[in-house]
Amino acid sequence: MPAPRRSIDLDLGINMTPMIDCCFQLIIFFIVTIDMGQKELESLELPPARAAVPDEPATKRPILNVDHEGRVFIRRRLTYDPTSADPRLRDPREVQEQLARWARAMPRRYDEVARREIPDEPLLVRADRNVPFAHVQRVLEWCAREGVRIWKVELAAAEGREEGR
Amino acid sequence: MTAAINREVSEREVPLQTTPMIDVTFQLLVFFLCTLRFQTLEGKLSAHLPRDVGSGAVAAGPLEKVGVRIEVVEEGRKVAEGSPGRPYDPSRDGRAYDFVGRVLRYSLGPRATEDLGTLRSWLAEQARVTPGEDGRPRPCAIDARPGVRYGEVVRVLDLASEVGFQEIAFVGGVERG
Repeated sequence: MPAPRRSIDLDLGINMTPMIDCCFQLIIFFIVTIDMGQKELESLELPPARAAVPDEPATKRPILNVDHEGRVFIRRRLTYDPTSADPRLRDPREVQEQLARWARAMPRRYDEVARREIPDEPLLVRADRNVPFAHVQRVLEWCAREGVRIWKVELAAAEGREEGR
Repeated sequence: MTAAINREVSEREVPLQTTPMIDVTFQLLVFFLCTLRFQTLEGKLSAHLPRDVGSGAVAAGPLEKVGVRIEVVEEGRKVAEGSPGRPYDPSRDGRAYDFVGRVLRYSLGPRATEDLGTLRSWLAEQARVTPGEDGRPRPCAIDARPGVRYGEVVRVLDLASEVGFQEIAFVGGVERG
């Protein structure tokens, strides 16, 4: 004679607390890490370079982006567009003023060659690999101007990839 | 009578409605996952601008610097990135494109070549044979002529850095004043 089945009254409710905890942890992680240090990096196709040293994002470093059409972006904002119909965007003064502000904020040292104190920190120039270099050269010339004198520049490149060698 | 009802109400278990909170939490999670941008690993090459000149174009001293001139010989045609056989279509390919049939000439003093390997050996030779006064390689000056692209300049800058040049500058100019 088979044993009579006993109905077991089990409470099968899912304990949601750990899951919610995990979700909140993840959300806090994303909020804290989202886009930190990359707010000034425009999405660009960078050229590869074998000798490039890793770029370690530092806070408040000066970064200037030049896209494939030669437009200059600073902190994600279009500040110069040589082909724009808007005369304000064709005016390079805003970029030049920003460069001068960066230069003033940089530590300075006396340079024997220049025979004066000059800014002693680099400007990171990020440009699209297919943009004519003349657009980058224009920015470099603004850097060399009186009142700016940023002479150290770093050109951004993609690390480690090989191409066309 | 009223006191008894109040006691009964206060003792009754009030279930916490967690469903909307979980919904919102998941929405937030999905949003952050979708918008997540992983940190891009970028590199950088150091270069210097002339310190001893005013604004505008600058000239490289031929005796002090190793000058590399980059010129475009053949413009080439644009093709989709990674597909040499397919012409570049901006609406389809975005801004990523390559060149096919593009020829550049690299000049180092009187010598000129279209081959990057040859340029590399010349640069290595210059870096080794003609050190500056302090024993380090002389400064290298890159002169990119009109039409040369940023990536092509970076390639030469990369070669110069690889063979040991420590001070690399740019010459030539776009505008004056």
